[in-house]
Amino acid sequence: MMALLLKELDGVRAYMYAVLASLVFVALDHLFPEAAGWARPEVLSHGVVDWVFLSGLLAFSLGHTLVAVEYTEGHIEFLDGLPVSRWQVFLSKVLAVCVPMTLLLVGTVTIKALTLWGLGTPFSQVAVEALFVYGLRLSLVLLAFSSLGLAASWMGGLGWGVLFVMLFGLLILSVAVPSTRPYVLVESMHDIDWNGSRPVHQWGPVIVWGLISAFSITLSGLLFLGPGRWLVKEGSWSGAFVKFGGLGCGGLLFLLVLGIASLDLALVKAGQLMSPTERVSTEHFRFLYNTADKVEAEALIAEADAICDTLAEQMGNDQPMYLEIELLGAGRAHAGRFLGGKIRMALGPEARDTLIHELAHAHAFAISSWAVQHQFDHVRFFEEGLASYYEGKNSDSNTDYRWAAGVWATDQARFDLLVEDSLRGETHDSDQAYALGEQFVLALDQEYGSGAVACVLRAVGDVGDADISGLSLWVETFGRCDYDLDRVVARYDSNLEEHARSLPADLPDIAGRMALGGGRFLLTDRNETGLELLCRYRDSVDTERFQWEVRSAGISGVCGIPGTMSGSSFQVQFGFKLDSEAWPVFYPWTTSER
Amino acid sequence: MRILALLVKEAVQHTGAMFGSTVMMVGMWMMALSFALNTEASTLLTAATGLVYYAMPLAIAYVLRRLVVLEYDQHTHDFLAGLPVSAFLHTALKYVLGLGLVSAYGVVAVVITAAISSRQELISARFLLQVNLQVLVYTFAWYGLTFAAAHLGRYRFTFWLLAIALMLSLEQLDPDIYKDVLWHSALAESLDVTRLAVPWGALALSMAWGVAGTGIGMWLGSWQQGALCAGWFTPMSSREKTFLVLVVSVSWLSVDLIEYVYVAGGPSYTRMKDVGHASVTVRTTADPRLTAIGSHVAERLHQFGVAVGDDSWPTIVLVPVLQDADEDVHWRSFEHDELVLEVDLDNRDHALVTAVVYWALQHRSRSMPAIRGDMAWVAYGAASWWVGPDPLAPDLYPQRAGYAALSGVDEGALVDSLLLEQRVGPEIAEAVGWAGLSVIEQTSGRPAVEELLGKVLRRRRSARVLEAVRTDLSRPTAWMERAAGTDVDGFRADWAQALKGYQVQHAATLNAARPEWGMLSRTSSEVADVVLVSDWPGRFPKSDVELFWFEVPALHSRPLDYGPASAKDESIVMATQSTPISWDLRAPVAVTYAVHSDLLDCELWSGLRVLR
Repeated sequence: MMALLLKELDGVRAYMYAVLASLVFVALDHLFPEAAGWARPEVLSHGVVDWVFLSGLLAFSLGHTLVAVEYTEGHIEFLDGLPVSRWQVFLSKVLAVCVPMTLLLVGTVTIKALTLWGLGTPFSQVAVEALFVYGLRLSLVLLAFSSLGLAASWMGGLGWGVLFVMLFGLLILSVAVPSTRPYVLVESMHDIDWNGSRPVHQWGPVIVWGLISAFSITLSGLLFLGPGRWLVKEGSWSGAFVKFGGLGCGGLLFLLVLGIASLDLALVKAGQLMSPTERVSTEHFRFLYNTADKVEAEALIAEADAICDTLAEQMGNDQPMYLEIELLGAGRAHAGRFLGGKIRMALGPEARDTLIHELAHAHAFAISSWAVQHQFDHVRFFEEGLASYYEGKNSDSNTDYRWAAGVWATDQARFDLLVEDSLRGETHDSDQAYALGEQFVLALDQEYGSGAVACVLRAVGDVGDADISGLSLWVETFGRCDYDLDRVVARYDSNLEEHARSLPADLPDIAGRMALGGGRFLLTDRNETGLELLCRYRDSVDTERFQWEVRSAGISGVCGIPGTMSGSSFQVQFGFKLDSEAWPVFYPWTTSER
Repeated sequence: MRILALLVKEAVQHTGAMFGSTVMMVGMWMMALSFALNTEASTLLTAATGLVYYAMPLAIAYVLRRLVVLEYDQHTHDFLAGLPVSAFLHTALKYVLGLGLVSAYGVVAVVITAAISSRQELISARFLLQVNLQVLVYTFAWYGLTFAAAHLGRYRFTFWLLAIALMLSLEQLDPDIYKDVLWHSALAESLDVTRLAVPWGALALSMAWGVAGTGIGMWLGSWQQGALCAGWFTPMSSREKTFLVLVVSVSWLSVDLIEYVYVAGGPSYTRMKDVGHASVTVRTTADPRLTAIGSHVAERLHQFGVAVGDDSWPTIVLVPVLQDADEDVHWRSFEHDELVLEVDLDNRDHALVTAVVYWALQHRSRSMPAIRGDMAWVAYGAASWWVGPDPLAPDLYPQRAGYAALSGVDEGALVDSLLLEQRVGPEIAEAVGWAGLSVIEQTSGRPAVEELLGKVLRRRRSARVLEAVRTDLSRPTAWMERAAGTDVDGFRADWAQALKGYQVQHAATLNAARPEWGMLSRTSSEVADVVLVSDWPGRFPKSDVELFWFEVPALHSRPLDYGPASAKDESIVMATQSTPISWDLRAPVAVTYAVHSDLLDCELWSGLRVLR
């Protein structure tokens, strides 16, 4: 028996080396992060998902290579000649699986424990319990994966496919039915649950996976006693059957998805794609519009070249301009977009203003030799600001600076954050860049005259795609123009302060709390201003702008939470409108948990 | 004729598979089209380029598996080797056949997509030609590399796993790696950008990868009539399997480690003005006041470095903030060895210089307060001790330190500054640290303080757990005893005595600011109510009080992550009204009141309660 065990251990030597090498990396991974960055519970969750998944694959691979191979490679004849029973052979294989897995378990828990100790955590009962829960979960993963590997080895290479399909299915199940999450082996390892200061765990997954593991090992053992020979002999037939079934199911699933996509195309988009359009060329533009909008489009087209020339003169652009303009709408969140060297915009009462706005973008890009796109994160506020500024300058409507004033009055107008647009967008309303940028351009124009915008844009072009911070870029560009950045920023600030004087003395001070078990927000205006309150939602900082949802609180102060916020966590920002015409002023984003 | 016969043979052999791959690509194209129609892409052609970018590598892998791998796996290659055609010819035929098929997938997808969207967008012939060129070059690059990899036999999986690990690692070093270095470059940039100008550099890069892959693949396939790579298609030995498992495990774990050993990008604030001094680089905007503060900070830090024998400082970047900030100086980020601090210029210069020096020292001693709470007071008091008192308010530190004694801070709390900070507030804790260093200066002289600071603060931000463990074992307490010239108990007694020795003006008024006023009760698993149980001290305006709360997570020995629960809200000081505090963790929570004192120009914290 001992000789058999030694033989099996020799067979799993590769896995012993792999476990040892991996443990070295896990140890290094725990030594590298800064000590100050660790919170003690994070030590337990650090690197868990990657490592547990890899451990599971190692365990499955180990189980998968040990049993059925004796039949497929014909070694069973040799084993039958030995004075040991097949059960003993099988037992020695199971024990051989246990050795590297135990090494992996003990090594991982030891590394976690040493890291906790290194951080000065006293080894209280809490620490020991937390390590125990971690170890229990990891051992469950190893047991389940290795026993599934033992059972799946009888399917040959198809076993891997079955494993991944099973994991994927469980993952889908945990999304659809969140209460099943603890039963999803790798997914459930993310965090340890705490009840006060005590770590807790559920026994259900332990029992279920323990039973599945016991069944898998027993099944594999029974197959090893005899039926396995038939299975391996007929493997090509049974494998083909399963393969065909798998392919069939996969094919049906694929056709289903294909069908839905086609139906979507046919029913929803076909009308839009096939609607008749017309093309018109002018001196500066090539237009595309819906035939149904002919009158409205031609009115705009008649003015377009003159608008372009006026803007070129005002902005100091002496380069030739030729653009494509699609008057077919620009999506949910925009009236128009200048993107990829063309303008896409909607027709309507605001179309002229939109065209001016987007053309200002086009001129700005041209003046900067298209370098604006390289530094877009740092110059977006300026770019949107100058478009709004020239839109206001060439528009018949009165300028309204209340939005910018409201943003300033709620302490959200810091220039140093404006020049880092992505960073600012994580916490603030990114649309505010329009209003604040306009004020910055106004201040620049007031301090250095109408040619200043072009000079700054050319300087941005000269900087090119250098990897520098926003403030660094602005110091650089202003230096190239021999302008004083601090002077313009001071003017920007004083202008905003001046505009803020026109606002009501008290702006809403909004407190919001979740009610109805996470179904809505109740908003309270502590200053009782009577202004309309709003809630805006997004799933996370990465959610596209056009997917954000706005809800009005109404008289009752109740904001519904959109059904699209389906996760346990989402982001919300509260805001107010000075009147029905004004742009809403939103406070910073906060993350809400249900 | 022989070529035609070979082509017919390949066509007959692989017709079913090619049909299958075509169906797969058509299906994926429809999904990509549906996705593009439901997003707000500037052009529908992104459906075709997206299809090529993501699905083409799979199609290429499948096609080449059929054309090359199966030929060797099923030993039909031996028949080909026996035919009167050169290995180069049949390798080239397979290459051309496969490349033609997958190129057709890309071109047809682009052309059909363009036709569908022609009524809804303006697509010029030049742009259409350019997109096709990008798609063809991208396909050629992937095809060439996959063609080479297909000839590697049993080593091809190792090759791909290593390639993927390498790509993920390089991605962490430089997010633009796909555009600047790898074969993806022809399609790595969005069409919104490449529409403006043909990306000739990116096309050339992808082309070079494709040519290299093609060359290697052709060489492997035709060398010794294909016998070289035919030998690589035998099953793996156990030693090779061991190697494969090791390589896969180590390479995938290595990806996680890359970000710790290398930080991408270069210095990002280098174009701002350097107002530093000697060994210290301080960058600011051209603002004259900020320049003066930066220059003063640099001088102080340089002197500090000389005194403690360690002058390796990060670049300090001072960023002005316009609007009222919560702190005089706020830590924004540390990247590229640049410590970026936001400076609120509404404060006095001396306070700002001290605060910047404080952050610089905190940065250097970053791990110490987290690991050794009993030594954190050194880090808290070092900046104020080194910079010295404000000439316009020379009694401020002694007054604050005296208040600490007045508020009942005992000897035991003196060397546990993290808790001390939470009990009395950060400014008072800083003054207590200042007083401790002053005691050592008086008893052992200035060099003793400098030696202690040198030991405690000579800890880089990069301190690792291993270093922390070593520090834990090397008994920092001994440093303190050596500097003070007495044991810990004796030093604490001297320190407490010194605190009591500071004469606090308006002691009665300040004393009233710390009644035991708070009561905490837990109303649910997520909400605690704080209720004031005594009358509010009349001398303190209700509008200046804030409620701070801390989480006390399990395995932490002291509260963490505090934040204002209720900013400037009068309702929290009304005895009849409770203030709900919500938190997400099911961890114990601690709450304290903070009231602003004009007399000490700081916040006084009081009434810390922990609810478990």
